[in-house]
Amino acid sequence: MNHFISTLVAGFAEAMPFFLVGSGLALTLGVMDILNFAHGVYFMIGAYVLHALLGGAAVNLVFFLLACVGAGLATAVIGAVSERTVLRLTYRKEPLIGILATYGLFLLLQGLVIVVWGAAPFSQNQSFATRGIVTIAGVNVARSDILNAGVGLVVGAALYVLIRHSPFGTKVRAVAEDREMASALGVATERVSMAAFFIGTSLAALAGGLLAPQVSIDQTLGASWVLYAFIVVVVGGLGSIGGSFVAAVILGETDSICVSYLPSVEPYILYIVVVVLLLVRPRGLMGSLRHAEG
Amino acid sequence: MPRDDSSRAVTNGPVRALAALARRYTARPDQTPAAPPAAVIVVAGALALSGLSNPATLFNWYLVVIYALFALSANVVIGWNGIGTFGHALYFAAGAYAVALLATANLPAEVLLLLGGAVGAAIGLMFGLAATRTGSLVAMAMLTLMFAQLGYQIVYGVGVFGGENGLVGIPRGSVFGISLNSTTAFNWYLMIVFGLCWYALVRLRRSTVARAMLAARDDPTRARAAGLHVTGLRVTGFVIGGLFAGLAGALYAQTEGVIGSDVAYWTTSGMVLIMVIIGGTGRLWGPVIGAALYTWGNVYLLNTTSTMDVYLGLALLLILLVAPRGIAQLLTSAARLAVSGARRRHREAGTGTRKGNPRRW
Amino acid sequence: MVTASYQPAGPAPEPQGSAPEPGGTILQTHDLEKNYGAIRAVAGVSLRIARGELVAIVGPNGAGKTTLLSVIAGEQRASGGRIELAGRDVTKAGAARRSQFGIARTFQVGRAFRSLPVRDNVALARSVRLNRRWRIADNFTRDAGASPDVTDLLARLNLADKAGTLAGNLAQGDLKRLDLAIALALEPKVLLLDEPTAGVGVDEAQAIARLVVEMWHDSPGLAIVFISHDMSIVFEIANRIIVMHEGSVILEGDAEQVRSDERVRALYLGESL
Repeated sequence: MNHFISTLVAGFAEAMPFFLVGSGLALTLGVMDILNFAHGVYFMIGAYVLHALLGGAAVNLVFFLLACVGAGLATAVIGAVSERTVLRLTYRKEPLIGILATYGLFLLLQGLVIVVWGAAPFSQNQSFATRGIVTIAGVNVARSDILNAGVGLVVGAALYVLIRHSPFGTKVRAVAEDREMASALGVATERVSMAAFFIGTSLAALAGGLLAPQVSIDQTLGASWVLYAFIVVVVGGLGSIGGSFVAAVILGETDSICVSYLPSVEPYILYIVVVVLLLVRPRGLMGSLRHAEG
Repeated sequence: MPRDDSSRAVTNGPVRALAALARRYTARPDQTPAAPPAAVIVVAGALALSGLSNPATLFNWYLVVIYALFALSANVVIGWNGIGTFGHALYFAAGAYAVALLATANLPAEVLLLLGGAVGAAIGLMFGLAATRTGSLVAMAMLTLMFAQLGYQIVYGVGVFGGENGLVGIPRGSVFGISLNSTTAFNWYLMIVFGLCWYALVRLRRSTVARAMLAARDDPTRARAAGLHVTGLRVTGFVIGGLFAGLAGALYAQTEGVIGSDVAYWTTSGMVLIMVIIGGTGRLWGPVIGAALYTWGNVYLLNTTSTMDVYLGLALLLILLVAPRGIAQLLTSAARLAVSGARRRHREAGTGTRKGNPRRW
Repeated sequence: MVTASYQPAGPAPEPQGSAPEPGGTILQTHDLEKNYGAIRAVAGVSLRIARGELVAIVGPNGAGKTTLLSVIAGEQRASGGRIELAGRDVTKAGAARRSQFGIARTFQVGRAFRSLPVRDNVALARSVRLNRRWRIADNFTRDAGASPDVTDLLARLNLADKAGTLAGNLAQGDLKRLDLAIALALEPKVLLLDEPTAGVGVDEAQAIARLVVEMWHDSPGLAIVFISHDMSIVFEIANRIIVMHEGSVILEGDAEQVRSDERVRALYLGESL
């Protein structure tokens, strides 16, 4: 039983970075209506920047968190620049060109990462406070999992408050719902889009920083995490942040349970879940029909 | 008005004949016979390949031909149907693995080839039926990505496919009794297969089905209101794309002799997408150019820099911004300008008058 | 038929066409509903259109006219009610099948296939009408594109000189004509026109109106249902006028009845009739 709870906790912790990256993409997609292929690269850059800041050394938790935030912001700046210069130019063209442009951006950024940091992978040490396993009420929990879960919940709550209960959030929802109407009502859609993009990118990078100690920091991260971001967003429903949370948790728990109890199925389970779900309900768990038409 | 006959003499004879031929081909492009150009491609290609002495160069050109077919197949989905698919590599992989898995069965090469195509078409059908359940381009792009990754996981994980290292020792076999181990024979085999596929694609492009696909791409709502079954057209596109991609994959396996799981990873789909977009979707020879540029670019850049991605990304972005219809569009526009410029100069020279300096572009 | 006591700005269109064939209901809706969440865009509309009628649907913005057209054409699925075409229940059929059964439509902003030349646009629709199955290796230009029907249609709609122009390069007026040509190429039983004269200049609007009447005149049995805000044209050419408001039909009748109705006057207060 304890093992089961332990698996669930681990699954939840695994889900949180999925949620961060996925919600960032959902935000961007909802507000700007572009499917940003480069989103996974922001995760990767976040990890690389964190490593650059900490030099791979173990530090105390506060520094680590600060570095995460720093990585998030730095990457967001890169994201903003790339949006301003590259993506901006594809807006007035057909949607297929937009999708392809973000793929071009993905390649460009991925290539630049190799140019800046080289092809050899890096590793980042865990901060002191998040090493090892702790046992709470008979359940084994990795300390880093507690951190990831905590950060995820805090950010999730903050996002919820921001989107649902703040003036900015209302504007975001208005622009996501109907851009022209929002503009006609006096919302500065440009600014809202930029801000949403900035937030979305920093979320992805934050996840990258958080997970840096747990992954091999190399140039394949971008391609893998693009995939995860898409999975979360597609399952949760395009443009829905709440959906991203639910989807991430479902996926994280499914993966964790498979790792513990059905290891042979584990590599496929995510994709199987996604495919089955999409066949049954193409608009995802909580998505709007708007994205399903065409 | 006195005429200057000497300048006219230059433009007589062969030039006129060529101009007439060009006019016939461009005025009613849809009606010219498709077989002769295909035959020319086969013969010229096979002879050119046989003239190459450096095995590495020869090999790269093999790849160009194979990737050209791969890109042409992707163009059916991406260009004709306007669907940004990120899962196209899976049919290619399916064709290749089909051939690889049947390596010990001692089947003739052409049978294996057709099996590869059939497998590709079957998977294309599955993809198509599933992906077109939604109408949204965005959702389709992601769905195709998901399915392809599932396929990749299966290829990577299930033992019979050989995992990451894949399968080796795939023989070239023989066609109608002629062994393909001889380079010359293989050159002809490759070019004949490509030529036949090219012919088929030319005929397909001229068909009503293809026109309907273009219409459904341009405006799905108007298409439906005009009685076109948009979903059916899209699925057909996936099947045709899958068929030719499977053929290309089978050729790949027969050429390389080995096949690894990386062929099925989603970035390979990205690669063929780039070939199609950079080469251009409007003309059939666009993807061929894209394939050639990519393959040789890869070879060249691999020797000089360690990262191709920056250049790929920049090239893609540049093309999308400057010439979204690809290099084919650039070349066609340039050719048109050149022809109209030449026509004007011919006219002016012929009448012996000069209407002032022709406009410089 | 409809006597116009209002003088049009330009030359009057041709005299109105043939009387409807006796007893032929070509299109019927029963309590048709379309809801968007809590909004009832179409709230229980029951219509009967006879063969050969030329019917106008009018009403203020937001009355549900375009939505009604959309639902009848199959572009949107009805939330409730039934639609019958020539006695056949088509409620569950998609837009493409309905087009094949005999419903054709045009769009408020002229829509066509941008990357194809004008001729191909019409030829494709014609090809749909003529062949139920396309051979996969036929030749479009030779088989469908050369059809005299297509040339005819282009000529009648004044698009003959633009046959080779890409639809994406057309001006709005020509685009609307092309939209109409595509619909007509389907030889529909019912033609649904969404604001056929909107968005173009006065002369062009008159020309299109004339064109619509001509085509109707020349196609016995063709029923046309058109939405319009241009009341002058409506009163000139329509056999019957259906007035909608907030998703429901509030009045059906000829020009006189509509013009003298109190509710309609109230609705259009301030608008010159």
